Amino acid sequence: MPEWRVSVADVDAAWGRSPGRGTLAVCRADEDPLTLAWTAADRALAASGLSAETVDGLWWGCTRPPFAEGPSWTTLAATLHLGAGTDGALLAGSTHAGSDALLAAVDALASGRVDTAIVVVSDALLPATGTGHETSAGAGAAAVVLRRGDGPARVVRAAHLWEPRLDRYRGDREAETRETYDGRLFREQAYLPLLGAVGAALVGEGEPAGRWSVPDPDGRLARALTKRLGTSAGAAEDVGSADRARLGDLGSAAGLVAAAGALATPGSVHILSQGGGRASGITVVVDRTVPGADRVAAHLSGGEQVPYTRVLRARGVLTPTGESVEMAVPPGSAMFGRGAAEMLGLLAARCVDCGTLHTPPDVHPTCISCGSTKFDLVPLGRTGTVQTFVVNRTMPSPFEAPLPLVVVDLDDGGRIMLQGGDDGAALEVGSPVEIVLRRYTVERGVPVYGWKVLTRRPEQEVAS
Amino acid sequence: MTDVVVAGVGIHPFGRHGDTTATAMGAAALRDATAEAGVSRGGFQAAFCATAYGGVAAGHRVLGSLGLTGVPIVDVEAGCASGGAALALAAGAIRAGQYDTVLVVGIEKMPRGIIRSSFFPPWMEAGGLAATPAYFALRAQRLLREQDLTVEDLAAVVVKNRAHGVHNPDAMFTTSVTAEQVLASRVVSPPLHLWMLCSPNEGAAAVVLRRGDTSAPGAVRLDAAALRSHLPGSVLDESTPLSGIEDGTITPPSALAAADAYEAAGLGPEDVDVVECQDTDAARELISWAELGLCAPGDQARLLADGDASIGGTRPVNPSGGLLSKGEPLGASALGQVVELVRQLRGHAGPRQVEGARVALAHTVGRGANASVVLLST
Repeated sequence: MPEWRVSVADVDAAWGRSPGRGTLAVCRADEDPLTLAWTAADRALAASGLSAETVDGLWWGCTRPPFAEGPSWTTLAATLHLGAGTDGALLAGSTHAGSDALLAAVDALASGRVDTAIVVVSDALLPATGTGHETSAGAGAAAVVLRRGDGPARVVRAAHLWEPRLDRYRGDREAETRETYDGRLFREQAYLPLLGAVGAALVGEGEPAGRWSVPDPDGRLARALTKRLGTSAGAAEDVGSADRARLGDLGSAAGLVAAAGALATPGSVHILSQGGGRASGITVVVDRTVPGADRVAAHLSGGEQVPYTRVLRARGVLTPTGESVEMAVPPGSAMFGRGAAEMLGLLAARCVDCGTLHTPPDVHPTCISCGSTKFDLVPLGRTGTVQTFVVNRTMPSPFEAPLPLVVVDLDDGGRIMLQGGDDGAALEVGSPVEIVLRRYTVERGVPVYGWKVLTRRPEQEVAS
Repeated sequence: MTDVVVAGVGIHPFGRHGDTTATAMGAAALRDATAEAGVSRGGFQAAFCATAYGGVAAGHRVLGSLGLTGVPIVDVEAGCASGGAALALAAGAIRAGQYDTVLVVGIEKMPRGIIRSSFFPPWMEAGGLAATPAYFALRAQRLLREQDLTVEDLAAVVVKNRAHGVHNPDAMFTTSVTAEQVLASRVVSPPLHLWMLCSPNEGAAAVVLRRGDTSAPGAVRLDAAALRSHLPGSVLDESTPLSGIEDGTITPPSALAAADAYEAAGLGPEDVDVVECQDTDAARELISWAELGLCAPGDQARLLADGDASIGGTRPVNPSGGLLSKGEPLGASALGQVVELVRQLRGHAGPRQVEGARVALAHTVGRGANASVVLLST
């Protein structure tokens, strides 16, 4: 989940509407669907106990990949240290993309093309400012690691239906998603009949309805659908309702986010999704607890409550005018040229002769310790301790204070200076920190990703 | 060894001067210095111009405006130590017998606000790592932690230097401040408050060096002008990017330059009567004291409390008011220090005179990393 939560009532108050209930998960300025996807995939991989080298497939479902066209998938693959021959795809186009990604990966595994795949779904819906959509749109991500052969859970069934319906959409060159034109038409002609039918196709005659992950674009539809999914053998259980009230609609990530926690308990879980007129249902049978699923509830809880105005600033809707001091980002980040791989991979050059680690590698053609010119490119560890730090209280545009800078002595011997990823209030010299992927900036339409430092809480498990 | 003397100095006040160009400020300083030295067209063989932001052929513009071109003119850039670098080149050429008289001028017209360094790889700039006060603060945090100094000690440095600057008409800030005022100023990057940071600004300074007789009354001898850069891996002392070697084990560039200068001059820190040192921020001055051998690490708080570094103390530091009073026009700052110390050694420093000063030290350190140490004596 992203770091921030905004209350629906706060959004409503800004537009003079009667206050709604619940909160929404929203991105900081340095989070987006890619950084959310990285976090979920990194955690899933750590929970699976597999190393990145064993992964040969990456399927990513997302309605808002960071590039409309461009290296979205490869940027994610680089930050996960996947091999150069990795198979996979980025599925987009509608909120149905999450199911597309899951089924595409299942098919690739079944056909023998890949052995181990990461499926990650992520979204950060961008509603039009001032519309009702703003009171339901959330952000989040989930990931699973799939392997060929036996495992704790299996995908056993899928069903599909479609109708050419204009539900939510975003035209070419449009920034914000438009709401359903006619809510009642959508409910009666698209959402309930299509999802009701694919749901019925997943459950056999006389079987108990079981557990369901259902999409809920407006905060009301899921209840009506869940009622319809009940069978003579029992009512359907909506596994995502409590989390949706705190997180909002997660778009293409909704299905897997809600189902992920259910993978901890044996039994069937049905995942429904819809978008762009398509509706799909996928049944997963859990035989035993899927590693990591027991931690999902903890990952979905928490979050920092922030005012609506802060959300608008992070989205670039509220912008300052009359900046007196400009300190613009230079024209030419690593994403534009050489160095993208080492930046995205948090790579260091390790001297073959004396082992000294150098960061970033491209500025060190010669070892500063022994003068050797032979290096191995290695990923730096992502945990360490604070050597020194400062939380800047004044920063020139476009940076915003407080902005922490941290020099980290990494547990694997390197030293690196990076920006802090939060307000830095918990930083202390010697305190343990972890390094996470965030979006530094967007420059000429190009998102620039890099690494930031977060204080590591003692109870927090960290994959390194 | 051939003796080098300072034959003349000149300064254009440091501050903000509207649309006055760097060239015009440099010409004003150089006109005073050449007049004092009695040097005119044909009376010198080369000129060095220190500047970081001056652009192409900045020195040619200064000398051109005074009708002094024709000799070799070379622009010199070494970050905050640019002026020290130009002085070292000029003195070296005289000692080598190449020239008899050389003009050295430093000019700068800095952009307003926090300095954006182009020193970093672009992705580090995109990450917000390039804003200079943050860098100073990382160093200051470590200093306070390791040497038992407090933020009040940092304020005391500002109070001292601003009190000195009251008597310097060439300074940007000529009012005294209290520790309370310093600590009430805006926090920029903890522990540094706004008033603990020098202002990037504008100004010029000029020095005429000449091979010569140092026995004449009032002659100021340039005993040494040393310039050094950081050793590989010197992490938190202005050198970037960072690397994996422990910083504490590596001699910083200021200490390297000081050792070179002391050796060349046959002097030691105990001989120095008055010092102008880099006070880009208040913590930087305290670090410099130890690096220059003026005190042992950890003695700074005591020296501050005893007033040893104030005018009237055992060894005043920054009697001009330092960069905290003058501001820092990069190319001009090191030569501005030399102008101040020459006036001190001549006994012409007015109310801020350090009585009986015979040996003086000027120090700069900054981006690169570069550090310069100049020793002057009468």
